Amino acid sequence: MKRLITAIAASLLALLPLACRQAAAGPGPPETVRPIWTVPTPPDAIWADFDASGNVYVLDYDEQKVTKLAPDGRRIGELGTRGKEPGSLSKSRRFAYVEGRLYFANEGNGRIEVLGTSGEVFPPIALAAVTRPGELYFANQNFYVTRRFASNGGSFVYAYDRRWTPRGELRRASPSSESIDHLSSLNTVCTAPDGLWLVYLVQNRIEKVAWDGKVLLETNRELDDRWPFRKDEKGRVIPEILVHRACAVDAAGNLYVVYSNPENWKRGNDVYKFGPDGRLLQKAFTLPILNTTMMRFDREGNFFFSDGKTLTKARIERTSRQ
Amino acid sequence: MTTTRGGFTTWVVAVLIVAAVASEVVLLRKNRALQKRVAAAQSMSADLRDLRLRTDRSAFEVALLGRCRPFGQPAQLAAARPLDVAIYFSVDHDCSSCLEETITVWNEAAKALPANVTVRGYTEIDGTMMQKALDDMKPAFPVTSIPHFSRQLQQAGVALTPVVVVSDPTSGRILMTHAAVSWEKNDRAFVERVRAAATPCR
Repeated sequence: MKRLITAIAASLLALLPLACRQAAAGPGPPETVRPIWTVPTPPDAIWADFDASGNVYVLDYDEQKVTKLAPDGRRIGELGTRGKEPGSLSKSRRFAYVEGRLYFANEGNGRIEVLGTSGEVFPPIALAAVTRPGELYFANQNFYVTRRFASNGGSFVYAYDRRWTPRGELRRASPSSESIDHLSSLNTVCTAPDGLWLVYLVQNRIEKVAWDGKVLLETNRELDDRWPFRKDEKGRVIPEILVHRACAVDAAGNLYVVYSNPENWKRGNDVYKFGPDGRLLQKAFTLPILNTTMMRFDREGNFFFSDGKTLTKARIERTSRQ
Repeated sequence: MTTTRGGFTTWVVAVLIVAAVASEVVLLRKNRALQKRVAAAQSMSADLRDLRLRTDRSAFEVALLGRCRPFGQPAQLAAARPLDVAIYFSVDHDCSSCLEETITVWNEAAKALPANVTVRGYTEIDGTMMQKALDDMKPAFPVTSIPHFSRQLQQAGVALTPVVVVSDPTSGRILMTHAAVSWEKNDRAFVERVRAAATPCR
């Protein structure tokens, strides 16, 4: 009997490091990405949006063209072209599908471009406050237009109603005496059920703001420190500035953000998950591509991601621990 | 007692000998390390001298291109030679002061150079905002927009812009190149070389 107890105790002790490692891996359940289909896209797919029928519109940054895909991934059309004339796009990174029309942040031409789902050209919209619209989102029955850079205290996010009547400046860059903050850069935005997640690159900060612009929460380096990133001898996270390349919010409000791999900057496929309260939950999964150019959830909870050359539709599955 | 004192003296002498040998060894090692460093520094200095010689030599060789030889008449007086000057630049990516400087210098040059020299700019004008930025720089020479210009330049092995390429319009061969830096005097010296290349030798 004594031998048996000793053997059990020894086995438990042997399993202790494994249990500790499992606990350190994060409190949430492990997740896996199960691809449904993968299709080749033009060389630089940067954004996708969906219509009510589940068709997928994929914007190519290089060619400034939109490829229309059926819900099963079949290519069923193409619209948009690069140029300066009305109906043409230049340096567009984001667009939003709203009631049968596609609204593009046409940064190179300094306006909002409006196209129909078959490429019909509607009059463009000039915004007095945003001469170079960087990104555009539609959420909470409003349009949100962002600028990529804002000088000290300048505005990043502007809200407009459905008729493009200004609803105010949603988020200003914080006035700061720190030289690094004088030209703040807003990397990207993700719409959540209760507000917008703003992902800043240079400041290595993620903010969540309500529809009225009130800052609900913000993460900073301290939050990053909770995750066991590799650190240098001075205790700084390696790399010093983690490159957030893409983000997506699921129906529950969880934020998925791609970080550069700390040991290989060229690899941007590690996806970290933040809860709706901004708490870093876990490293969710590693995508089966090297560089993620975009991630999105559609209305049915399907997860889309791209490395520019391909677009994959997938489901995120939570697996129980072994 | 005597034996003890004798033993102590021997011990002290032995310790002193060991200390002297040890310090000698340390000194020798330091000396060797120092010699290695001096040798490395001398080798580095020689490498630098060699590099500078080679840089000076290529700069000298390039500076002679397009000029008239100082001695010996040309076999026949050639007619004024046509030259194409192409300025490759990127409104988005080039340092704005370098680009403004280049455009200013070649605006002046385009007016003053012989008629057989044609100056053209090549870039990608992507969108009305970039067109406005280019218009603000007021180039006095025609600028052609080429789609995916940066990518095409990279494929042709041109890694740096703004760059000025002088070529023979008949053969299409590049005769001189000049990667502009934000240094007006340097740019003007290059314009003089183009003028020299376009003027027949006498």
